[in-house]
Amino acid sequence: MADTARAFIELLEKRAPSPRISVIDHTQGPADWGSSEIVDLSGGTRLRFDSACLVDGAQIHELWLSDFALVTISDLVNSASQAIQGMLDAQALVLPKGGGRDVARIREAYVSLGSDLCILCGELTGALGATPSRWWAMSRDAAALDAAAARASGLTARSVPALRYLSRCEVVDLLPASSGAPTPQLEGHGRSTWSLGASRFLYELGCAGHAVGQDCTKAWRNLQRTPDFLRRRWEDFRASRGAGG
Amino acid sequence: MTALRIGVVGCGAVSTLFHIPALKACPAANLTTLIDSDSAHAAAVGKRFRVADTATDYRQLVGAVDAAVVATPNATHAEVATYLLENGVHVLCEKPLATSADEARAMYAAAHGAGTRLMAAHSRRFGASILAVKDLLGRGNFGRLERMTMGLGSVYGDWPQRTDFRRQRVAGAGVLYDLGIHLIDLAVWLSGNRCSDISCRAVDDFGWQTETNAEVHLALQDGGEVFLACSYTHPLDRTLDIRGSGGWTKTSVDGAPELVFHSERSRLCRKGGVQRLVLDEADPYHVQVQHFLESVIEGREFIVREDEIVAGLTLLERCYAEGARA
Repeated sequence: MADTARAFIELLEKRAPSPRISVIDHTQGPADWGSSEIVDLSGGTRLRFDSACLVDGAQIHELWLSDFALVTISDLVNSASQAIQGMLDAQALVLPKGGGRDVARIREAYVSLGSDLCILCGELTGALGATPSRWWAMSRDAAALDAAAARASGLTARSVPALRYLSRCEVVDLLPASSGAPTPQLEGHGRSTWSLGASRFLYELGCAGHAVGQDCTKAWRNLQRTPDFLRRRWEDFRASRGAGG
Repeated sequence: MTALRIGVVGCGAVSTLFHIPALKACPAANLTTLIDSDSAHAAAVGKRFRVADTATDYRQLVGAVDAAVVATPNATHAEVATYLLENGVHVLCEKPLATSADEARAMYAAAHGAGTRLMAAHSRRFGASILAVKDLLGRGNFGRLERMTMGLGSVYGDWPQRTDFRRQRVAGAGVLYDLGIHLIDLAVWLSGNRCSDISCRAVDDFGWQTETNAEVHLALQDGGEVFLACSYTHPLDRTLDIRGSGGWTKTSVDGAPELVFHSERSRLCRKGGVQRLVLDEADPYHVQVQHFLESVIEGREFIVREDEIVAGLTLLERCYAEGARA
């Protein structure tokens, strides 16, 4: 992924006149980004915006109040809970993980924080011979890219939880593209159906446990407020009696 | 941070409802003294808020406190604040700071001469949504400011008050000095102090010989317009509506801490459309007191600047020159 990103930056520097390129490196790895400015999203102010799917809203970095073009470059890897983890998940990394479901966070990132260009990349092994070969694919639409990657991995788009959730909330086209061009077989990227089902079950169980934990915490905090509430009411009562007398 | 010793001059509604609770909650403040011309009332307020030292003469604050909140009737602000400033006491003075721009200039001159600090208490600037609007304007999210409207209105008497000076024919009375100054101040601040012309229509509905309803139109230097309305006879829509060449926002002048906005210059809006920004709730008076005291302690500039206050009072004087109190 770092090589693909560096190659893309080199391309931009050659083609675009005096481009100002900044890098948000979620891997926090030792990659050398040359003269590009590194943007650290852990600093600065985060603002909370209303979100249809996230109960506590979306905490978005103030950088998104300004205007810029965003290119997201991500590896395609398999995921215990999402079958494949690609562009949709990469876009959602700018939203902090809260108590909400990961698919809701992915949907919010797709709608409000989507990229202008998405580049998915990886390595092919096994099926195309002993020598690993690199591949990349790009699209303006993260969902289309992940759907294509899912199909190439031998999955249906609707078997990927994030894509299934997204197709319920937004108008997204998850049908195969009809370009007729051969597509690489990304064997080993997708999880088997039963393995994914088991992982999702455990994941949903964890989410439910988290929600119950949050409810219990809030209920306990409210109970702790009771003495203060009674004290203030008592003071108000005494003040009103004093004022009246 | 060492807490400053604070005195409050004037224990009327705004003090007991807002300033004193804010001072009691602020870690940078040590509220030590309450002053009120009615000694029994000062003692009652002192007992309610557990402030032991009460008095009737504000001159007693000199040497006893580091800073004071002045919340007396409008016409007395200049006299009280100037005395305290000249004698080494920093002052947070209720709006309107003075009854004229010249009076305000003299108050600031007294502060500069004595090395003390003076800030006008324009609490509505410290509301979470208003601060967010100012931030978005400062980022250039709305482009060139084209139109701003806002209003404040409530039936006279509905709002708690201890004295009745606002409807008497004295300096600093009337709806423009009471509510209009909030709006004029916000217009001056949010527009970057670029008001070039003003016109005003005001009426005296009750024969008080001071205005009870007023509509103000401000022209901005680069062609924008501001429409303000304030009333003592009926509630008004408190929505602050700003439209610029690159976006718009709507929020309440003093309501829930949220705002709706769209900005062509924001990536968030370009992708996700109109956004509702949800802000943390904070009492504007708490934020104001904290800002005043921290700025005094750390020597920082106030959000409420001298040039903006003088500009606001100058505009107010021009409203009256146009016959607001005819």
